[in-house]
Amino acid sequence: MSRSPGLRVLDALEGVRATLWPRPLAPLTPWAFLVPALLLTGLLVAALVPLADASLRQLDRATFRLDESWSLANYAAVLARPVYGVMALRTLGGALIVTAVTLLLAFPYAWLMVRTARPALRRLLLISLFLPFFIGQVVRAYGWLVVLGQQGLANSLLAALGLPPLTILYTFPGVLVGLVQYMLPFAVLMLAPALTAVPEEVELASAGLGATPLRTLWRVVLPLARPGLVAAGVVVFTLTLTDFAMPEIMGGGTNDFIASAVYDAFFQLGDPGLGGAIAILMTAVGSLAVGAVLALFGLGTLGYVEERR
Amino acid sequence: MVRLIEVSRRFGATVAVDRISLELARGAFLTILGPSGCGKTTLLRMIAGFIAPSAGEIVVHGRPVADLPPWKRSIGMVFQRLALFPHLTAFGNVAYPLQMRGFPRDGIADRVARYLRLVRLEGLGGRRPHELSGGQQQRVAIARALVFEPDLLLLDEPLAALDKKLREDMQLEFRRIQQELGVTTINVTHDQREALVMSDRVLVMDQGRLQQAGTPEETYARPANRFVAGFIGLTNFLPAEVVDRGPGATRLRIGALEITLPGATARPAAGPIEVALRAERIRLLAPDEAAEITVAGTIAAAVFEGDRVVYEVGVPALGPQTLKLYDLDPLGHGRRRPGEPVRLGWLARDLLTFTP
Repeated sequence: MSRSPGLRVLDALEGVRATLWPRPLAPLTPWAFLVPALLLTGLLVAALVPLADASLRQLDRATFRLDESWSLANYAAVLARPVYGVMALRTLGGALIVTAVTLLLAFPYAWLMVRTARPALRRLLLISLFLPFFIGQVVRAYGWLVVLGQQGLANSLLAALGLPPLTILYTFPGVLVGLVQYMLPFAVLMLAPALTAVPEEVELASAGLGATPLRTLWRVVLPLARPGLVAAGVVVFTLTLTDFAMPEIMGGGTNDFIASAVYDAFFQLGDPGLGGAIAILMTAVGSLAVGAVLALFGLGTLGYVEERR
Repeated sequence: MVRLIEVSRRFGATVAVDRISLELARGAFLTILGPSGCGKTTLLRMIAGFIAPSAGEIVVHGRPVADLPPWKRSIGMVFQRLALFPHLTAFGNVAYPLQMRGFPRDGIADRVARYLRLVRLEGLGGRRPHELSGGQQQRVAIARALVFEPDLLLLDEPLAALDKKLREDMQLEFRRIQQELGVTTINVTHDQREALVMSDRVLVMDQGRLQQAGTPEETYARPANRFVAGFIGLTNFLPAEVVDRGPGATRLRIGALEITLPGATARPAAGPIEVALRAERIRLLAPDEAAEITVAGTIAAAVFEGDRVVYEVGVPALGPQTLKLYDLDPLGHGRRRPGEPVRLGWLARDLLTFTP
């Protein structure tokens, strides 16, 4: 019996597996697959423990050491200073706007990518989608500086048309523009499989039954794509909520998000207690928001509970 | 009435549908029959409005529909994979076209209930598609396509995925509902049996072209060409030659056999032709039995199919090719074994002649 080299390698590996993982262990296989993920998640949760511990100890300004005893002084300081409140509201509001705008832009992109009958167009859309991943966030933000700066491309164009210059850079909308551009590929990547799972025949059936394209979108495509929309929304929202680079570069220090406050507390003020408190509060707010979304739409919308056809 | 006038559709350089014309009376059931890739689904989708014809005209009940989008046409369609809305209940699926087409709100529940009763799904309106069996899903799909009383019903091989028993039940069920409502219907299938069972008229397509249009009986008894003869039924093809063409009869030579065809048979042009003979027209003769045409042969293979045995018989007089024929009473007598000598008989008028 002659076998291809590839199959022989697989058979040899199968032999190793059978020795290391004999049949009686088979019921444990699913759990074994989960181990790496559990380790990683466990590490993240474990890291919260020293962080929470630090957040409960006030910094002694004389010695620059954390107190021996626990207190809520750091939390009180965060809540008492309006600058953190403003920053938190800016972060939350920004995350909501970015999520909404990103989903609005990503949905037609993903739909076209999935539905187009032209392979060339699909390739173009896919390449455009993955290209930004090859360019880091910082480089992309710098690119925006070139485009949107006072002497940048956009303003040169406006000046050439005889229009007054536009100030976008170092403003809140400027930060949002940068964030939306950064988040768009993530959202499209999460929406595309959800839309692929909606058979085109279902859209045709809706049209044949009397629904205009907008009604088909509203009554059929959006409800069926809901798992993807919820998942993409959650990812974009949490990524934006914790983003550091975009607000720093596009806002130039004028429109910091809460992650900048954590950075400043740790590395500018040298106060791990204060930084920990802000980080814990941010994590709590983010988790609550995601928890609320999942409670509202149900875990089933992510496709994990309900049987989907 | 539905009329198609020289309807064509090209995709790039390939012609998927090539100048198809047809006329269908109100209330009639037409089946478009053909192998996969023959253009029948493209034709159906043009009638539904999902694909625009490259040329030609489609008229439904006196109205040209070429410029109407699907949602402005009055055409119900049952899709191959049904395309039920998985997030809606059976009731929601059937109510959908009524809501979209602006039916009075207070009449919708009654009408949906009436159509669920028509397809024998009373009491199951609250179930979602995945909670229904395959046959029940079919019924939801047909109720949804009919509930707004469309001018025309299109069926795009909705029965193809069902197992044989259920498919045969649903064929009769579709036919019952269609006749009860009197809705003009165009069905598309590659299943010749389905075409013959369900239809008033059959249109056979191959490679985008119309091969034959007629009643199921006409299509079966008088196939217009070799493709139709081969596609419908189990047919033996034999090379033959025209020896003599007289005024009332034609003499053919098939292998070593010379046969005179009655004048009524379509007369082939002189030269090499092909003769077709349906498997069920050939009889296994008892030792003393006579027939108009008889040949001697040897059983080459026998396949038991329950209600019949399909024999392949080698007939030296006809050349190297074997003849396929049925024994429709396999339990009534012993099975013939391979190698056993037999005598076969048939009538001269059962021979169909085609120029290859």
